[in-house]
Amino acid sequence: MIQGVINYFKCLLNLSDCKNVHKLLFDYVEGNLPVEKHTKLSAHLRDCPLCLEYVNTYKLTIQTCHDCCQPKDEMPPELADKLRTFIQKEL
Amino acid sequence: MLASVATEVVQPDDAELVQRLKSRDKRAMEDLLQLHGSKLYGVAMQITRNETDAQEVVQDALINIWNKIEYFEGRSAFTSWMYRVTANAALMKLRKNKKFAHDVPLDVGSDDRDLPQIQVPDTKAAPDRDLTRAELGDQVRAAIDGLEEPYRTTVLLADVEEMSMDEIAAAMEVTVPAVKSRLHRARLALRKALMPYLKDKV
Ligand SMILES: [Zn+2]
Repeated sequence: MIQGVINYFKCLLNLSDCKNVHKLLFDYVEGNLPVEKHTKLSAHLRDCPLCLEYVNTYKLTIQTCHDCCQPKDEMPPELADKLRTFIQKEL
Repeated sequence: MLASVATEVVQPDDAELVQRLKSRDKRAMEDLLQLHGSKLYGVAMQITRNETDAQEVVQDALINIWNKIEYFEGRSAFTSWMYRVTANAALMKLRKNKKFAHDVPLDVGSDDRDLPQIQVPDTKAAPDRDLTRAELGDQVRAAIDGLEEPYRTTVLLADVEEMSMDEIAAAMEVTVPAVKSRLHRARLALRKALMPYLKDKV
């Protein structure tokens, strides 16, 4: 708990690191950062609950979009018939 | 992408299908339609959001699969390859219909002010209970559908269809940095819109 409060104030003081997280977020999540930068950013996330929440909700947004939006339309039977004829006659 | 698995292999059934297609067996196309038609239609519907367009897109995709099967080398799953062919056909259709009329500025900041607009039909306040999976799905789909173009399509291709940045850049005829910028801004806008539903889950 106390550590959490300390980290919170450390985080407020480390604004330039926080800005970096925002700047590098995309490449961090995509795994495109050079190892050194990646490690440094990960270390900041361990100390900064605000940035950690930011990164985690960003990742969760991607995951949720992926999981919730898989196409689920069934092909209408008439279209399937039409396309079968197309394959036989036109292809 | 987060959910993609790099070690894709051609499924045994698909391997046979691919072989038959490569030896110009039209019956294999009918089997493909039977096995994968609904998913192809689903991809087409998701991108075009219009039944007439989606029907034409599936037909275009079938033509392209038939004509380009010799270029399929089996380095990705056959299903992913077919979905990409279909997504490409859907994009061609959108472009033809001038859905990507206005250009998007590059390298704009990620401030809230600059984010793409999301027209979410009914933005409720934070729900006072956990949404069911289906309800969450409705919210997410509404948020993506509420994104203006080209953000909507970019996020669908990248985060739902799991196409690579290079593939999306080629399909949308823009640079890779442009794709990344659009995708990032789309995700930030979605994150903002979905925040009430996400923040308890991290
Ligand atoms: Zn921070």
